[in-house]
Amino acid sequence: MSGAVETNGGKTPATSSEGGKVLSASNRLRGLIIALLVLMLITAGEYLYMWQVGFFRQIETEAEPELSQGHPDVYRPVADRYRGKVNPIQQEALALADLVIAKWPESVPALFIRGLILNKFLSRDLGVACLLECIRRAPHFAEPYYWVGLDRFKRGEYEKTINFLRQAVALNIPLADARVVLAEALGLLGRHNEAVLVLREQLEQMPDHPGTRFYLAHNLERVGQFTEAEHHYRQVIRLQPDNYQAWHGLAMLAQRLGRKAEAEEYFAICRKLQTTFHAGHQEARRRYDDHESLSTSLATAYTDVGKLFIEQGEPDEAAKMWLRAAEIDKEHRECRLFLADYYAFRREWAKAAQVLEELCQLEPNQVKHRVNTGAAWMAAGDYSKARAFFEAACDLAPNRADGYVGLVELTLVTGKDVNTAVDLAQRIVKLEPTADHYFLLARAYWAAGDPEQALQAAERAAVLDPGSRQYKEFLTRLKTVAAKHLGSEGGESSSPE
Amino acid sequence: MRLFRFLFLPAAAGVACTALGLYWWAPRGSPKSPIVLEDVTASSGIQWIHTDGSCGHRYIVETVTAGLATFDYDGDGFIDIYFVNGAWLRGCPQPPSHPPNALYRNQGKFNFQDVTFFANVGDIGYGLGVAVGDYNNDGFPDLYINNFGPNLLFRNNGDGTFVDVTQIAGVDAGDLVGAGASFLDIDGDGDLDLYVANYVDFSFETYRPHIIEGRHIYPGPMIYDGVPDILYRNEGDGTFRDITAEAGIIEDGVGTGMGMICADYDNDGDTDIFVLNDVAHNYFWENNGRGQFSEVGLPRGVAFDAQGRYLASMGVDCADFDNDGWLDFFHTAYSEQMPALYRNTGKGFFEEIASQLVPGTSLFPHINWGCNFVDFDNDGWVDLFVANGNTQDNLEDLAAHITYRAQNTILRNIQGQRFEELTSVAGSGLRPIESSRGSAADDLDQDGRVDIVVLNARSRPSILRNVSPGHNNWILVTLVGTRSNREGIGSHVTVVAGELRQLREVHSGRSYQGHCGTQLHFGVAHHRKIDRLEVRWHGGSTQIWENLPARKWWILIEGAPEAVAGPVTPPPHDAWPQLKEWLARALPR
Repeated sequence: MSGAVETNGGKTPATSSEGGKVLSASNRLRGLIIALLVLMLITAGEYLYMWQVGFFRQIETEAEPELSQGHPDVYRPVADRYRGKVNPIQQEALALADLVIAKWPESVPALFIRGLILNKFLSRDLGVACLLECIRRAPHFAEPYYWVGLDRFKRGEYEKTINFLRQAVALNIPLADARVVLAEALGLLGRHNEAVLVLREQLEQMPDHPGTRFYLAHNLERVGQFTEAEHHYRQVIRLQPDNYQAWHGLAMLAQRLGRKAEAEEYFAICRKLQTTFHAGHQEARRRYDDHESLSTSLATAYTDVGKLFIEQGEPDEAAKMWLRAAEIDKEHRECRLFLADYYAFRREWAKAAQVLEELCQLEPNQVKHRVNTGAAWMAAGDYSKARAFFEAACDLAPNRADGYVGLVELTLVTGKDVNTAVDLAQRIVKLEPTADHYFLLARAYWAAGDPEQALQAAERAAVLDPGSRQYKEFLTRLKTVAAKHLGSEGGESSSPE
Repeated sequence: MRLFRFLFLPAAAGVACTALGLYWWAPRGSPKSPIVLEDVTASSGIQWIHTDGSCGHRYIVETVTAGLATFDYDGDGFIDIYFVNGAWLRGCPQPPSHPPNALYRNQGKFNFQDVTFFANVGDIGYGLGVAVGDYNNDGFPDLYINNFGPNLLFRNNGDGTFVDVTQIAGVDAGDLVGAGASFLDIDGDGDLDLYVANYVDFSFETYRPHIIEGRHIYPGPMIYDGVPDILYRNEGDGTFRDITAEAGIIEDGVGTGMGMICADYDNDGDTDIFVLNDVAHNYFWENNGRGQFSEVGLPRGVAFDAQGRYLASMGVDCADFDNDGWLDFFHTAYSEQMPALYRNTGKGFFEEIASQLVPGTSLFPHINWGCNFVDFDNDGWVDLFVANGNTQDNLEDLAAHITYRAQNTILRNIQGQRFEELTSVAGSGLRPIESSRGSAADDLDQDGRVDIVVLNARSRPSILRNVSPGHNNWILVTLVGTRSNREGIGSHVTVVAGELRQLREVHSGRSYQGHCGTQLHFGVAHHRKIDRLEVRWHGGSTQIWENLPARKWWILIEGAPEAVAGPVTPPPHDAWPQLKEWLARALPR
């Protein structure tokens, strides 16, 4: 019957009569004893050798085994070899990756930047090899651990992911994502309790990080802590009302706990939000080429290399990198922020203001860009443009002090319409009664010729920030000047500043 | 490295010596894995090679062809194989001959004969999915092919041949990019209706190359709109009628259908429809018992994964993996995504628990396609087979793990508590590295151990013979409906053997756009008999059989009190002299 289950390769158990195919029991035992003796001898020999070479002293310093698996192109130039085989953006990126290693062959941060560039533009394997080399050379550099961990995660190597990310976390990596991915890897191994611990730790430092809260809720749900899971889902929704995944979590939880009507309500919200999300996702993915995003990545690479130049004390070279980044990607924000800083450092205020104006266009709702642009124009001496930007900041955020502060400073610089400055400064301290703002009010009063009010405001500033040497000194001088002023009525007023 | 070398050398030497000693001591052929699949493709007689029609344009359809079906088309008790093929695509050089789909007849002992032309099922359209069902209840299973282009319905003539009845039946579905399909009886009238999933609105006219990171790569589905699926009602006279909207199948516009399966998840006696969507939420069409459907994927918990994310869902299977009496689902997903395992809570919703139970190491890096719940080792708990492979064939220099070809996966079910990775130890059947798509699970040699057939893109298929060791018992069950549909599709079978209680449903259409498993298989561990076998016929009555011996193929006829033991050796092939004559002529070639 063909249905019979075959064992032993279809043979019946062998017996001694079957042509001696199987040794007798005594022979088997002898074989086993010989094998064990050989094993013991080899092991003893190896241990003796290891003791001689001092192996055990080195065990503690041995890092991840794969760190020693080098890649020939970690330090070797690659751009020329790929000329014509990759597109112009990639070609430029490879040249940049070669530049950093040629310029700073001993620098681990340079190797790190090279790793990130190669990872994105040429080969993930080569990029990761660079990052592993960073770890080998600088075991206390946190970022490479994170990136290698992320790579291992994508490969489904969760144990390795956990090892690398734990290192990154132990080295205080400032990326919230490190703990989130670590928790995800732990979750994928079913170690939800450990994931909860990791995320709880992060929550203490970042209570408003939606990702941390979401994954914490998810893992708590997995370990049956439904009440706390629900609390965190609700917190995610507080932080991100459109987060359909959190609504889904809340709905599933309610369903699991038998609260059907509530679950239905949450599912309805989830469905609506998810439809919007999917449409946006699809719109974003509906591109037949990624020239734009590749350009952005190249601009980011230039920005990072610019930072390397700064670290090496070459700000002019750094600026060239950021200028190229801004040229490649007309919407790149970070390179423009660095450029503005660079021009401010060089006191080239008009150039700084122009760069900041670009940022205002890119992020029209960012009050700080408008305030900074106003400040730059003010420093450049173009007061009308400065006023326009400060006023725009006030229009954008009428309940925030930033724009008004700019206007008051502008008034104090120009000396025109100081009474308006006093009104504005009073409004500022109502909005945000900080020491800085009282100090500004004091200066406005003084400029308006009201030393008593100035004194009161300066005293308030000194009370709010008793540690501030600046306020104390200002107050002392103000008192002196006020005393003189009061003692010699009609005499020339002098500035306390 | 040094640590590795110094500890590895003595350990390796020790292992080698111990192995040498044990080689004498232990019986030869001692099993390392409770599940062993042997690659028998080379000796199977199957020469067919899949084509996706690619020539550099990278049309999206090339990535998703194709599924396959295993079914006993000729009623000889041995399960045959139907492979779905891609085809020539516009803009490519014309091939010397058009590659057809292929039907291979099982001649026993893992020997298959190509009977495509005799059977008249060698469609040369661009094939994607296939479903099998006896839509006219004549006892011979029919074939539905879901193409990029008009679909086809082949009616089985019962003499080893099929006839194309698409136009008469009215089920060509237009000129769409198809996907999976399933026969199901939506209203319990005993006729099989037909659900046809559709993918995206790709056309040659709107095609544009897709360039990412300087590479011309295959696009994903989001670059296109989804195309609505179609539900056909069987009118009982050989024709079908499109009742999609009438039956409440009204989509929300994101449906990019892929694999699908129909199942009665809530044990209420009617059949519901689970359609996977690629990079969109899945659809779960719940039947009200009268053939009216409403979409409830979200509240049933099967629209998303556990974290509320939609996946690039691919293939799907259904079984009661934890033997709690409720049918669960497993579906595959894209690379860097975990597949989804939906455990049926029995309270009207599912919980997605893949991350808790399924090790992702061999699944997560790859795109997963076909999947099959199979009790490979007959221990009474269904294991998992997953077919892997990437869509992109030009990224292998980017990272070592992004490979067009990948190893398939075997996961062993540990008593419904977790799945254990056995891929690396499960024998030569897991060694072929191909870009797999469809997979089908059936007992091809009637030895009580379920075998696997895998369709590999741009390559020969893989035939994997289950040679798992052990002495566990099993039964095979074939249902013959008399009042319900002929193959018992949609019926539930519960087998109780000692402490084991297992539930299966007869499905049409499953895995990745394919079909298999009309003949049900139950592993029953050490039990020599089935204490109780209960069949809840679809749309009808419930029958119970008791004390059936194990290690048999049981044929259960609706309304007949006696279970019939089917032959487990090949019957003489004289049923159809015409076929025999044709085979004799074909053999010398």
